[in-house]
Amino acid sequence: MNRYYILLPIIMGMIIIIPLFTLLAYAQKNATISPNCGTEEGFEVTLETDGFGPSSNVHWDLVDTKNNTIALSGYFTTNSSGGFEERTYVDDISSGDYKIKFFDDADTNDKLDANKTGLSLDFSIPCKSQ
Amino acid sequence: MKTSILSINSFIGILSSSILLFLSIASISNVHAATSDFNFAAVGDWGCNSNTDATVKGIANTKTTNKLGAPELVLGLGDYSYQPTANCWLSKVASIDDNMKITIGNHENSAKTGFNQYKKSFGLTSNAYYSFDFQNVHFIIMNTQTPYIAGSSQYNFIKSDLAKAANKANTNWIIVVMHEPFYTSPTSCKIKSCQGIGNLRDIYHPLFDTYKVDLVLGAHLHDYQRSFPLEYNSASSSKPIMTSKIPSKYNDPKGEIYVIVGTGGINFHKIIGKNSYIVNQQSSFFGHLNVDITNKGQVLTAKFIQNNGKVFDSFSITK
Repeated sequence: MNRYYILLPIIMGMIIIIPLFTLLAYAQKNATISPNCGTEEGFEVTLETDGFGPSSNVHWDLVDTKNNTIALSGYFTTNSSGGFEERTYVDDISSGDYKIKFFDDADTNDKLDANKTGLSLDFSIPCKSQ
Repeated sequence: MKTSILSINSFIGILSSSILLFLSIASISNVHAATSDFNFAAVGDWGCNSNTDATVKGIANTKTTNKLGAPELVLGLGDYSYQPTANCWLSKVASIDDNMKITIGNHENSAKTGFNQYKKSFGLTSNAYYSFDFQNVHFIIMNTQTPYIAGSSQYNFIKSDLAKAANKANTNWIIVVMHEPFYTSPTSCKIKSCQGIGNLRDIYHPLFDTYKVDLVLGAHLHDYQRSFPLEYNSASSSKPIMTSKIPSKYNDPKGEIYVIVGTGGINFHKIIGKNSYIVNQQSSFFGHLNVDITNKGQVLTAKFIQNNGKVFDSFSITK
């Protein structure tokens, strides 16, 4: 009898906690930009994400941090874990500080999908001295 | 006597049959001599990513979605791998490059960006401007990355070629392909070459009007834009004269229709305004332009097909 009293909370805990952690793990959006800076002449950039809507589309915008004007944009289709690793090219952009925003955009209408969140990372032209 | 009459009747009968047979054969020959229906695809600013794959797939898919089947010709409108070599892009387009013609963009105009590889792969000369006929269409491929001013070898070639094409009995359409365009709506791309090349249009648009060019295809701007038929405006060249304000069905209009198809997959320059001479434009979907030439070469029908299969824009010209 005592054994049941000990096991019950553990089992209940596992039932609640394991799916919760799984859910959190999937909801965690990640992105990397490589490189995250470059020259005005132009350079290839690899965009990598994870944790967005699976088998859907993620929109990205390269925006000016001051006025949010979009300089470049695009979208990529995600894999089953909501990620992608893709190459694009940044040029025709003047020197300055920028951000690259990523957000779920299933129908590629350039708008964040309902009940979703995005994330943004810093980007600059040229690279800042270390 | 009877025999003679019969012989004459037989002779006349055989002669009539022969004439009818000859006329039938001649008629069939004429049908074959006339242009067969065909289609071609055009797009630029491809890149080397999954959107590029989707664009290639979209072009290949016309095999089943277009009544004319897969395109007999694919036109690359410039800016391909965006890398020091052409390898990646050449590999991406391998399934559709059997009959592909390209123009050079600003991302492959030097040895450092793979020019020699593109030159070799597509049999280009060092100048990379040329022309060719496909059925009753004369295509002129310009190179906006080499000198083009009046008096240059490119100018002399284009002018002479246009004059010849305009007088060819079996040429019904003249289509010019170039990378950097004459006209554009305002976009997020702020560099000078993204504003429409003023001296290029001042030199060539009057020539296109004179020699009755029908369609001008370009890219460089990473979006899709399609104009009304336009004639050159010498008083203000950035504001061309719209010869028709009909949105999509034209009957041999004056001037040329200008189309930017910079939607191969690299990314988008966001369109932030619309010039009055543009009919349709978008910077949200990658895709390609499919052009059908039908009705014995008398009807040109163009459709911008998004990579998801939806048609965003269409227009036709009848001659």
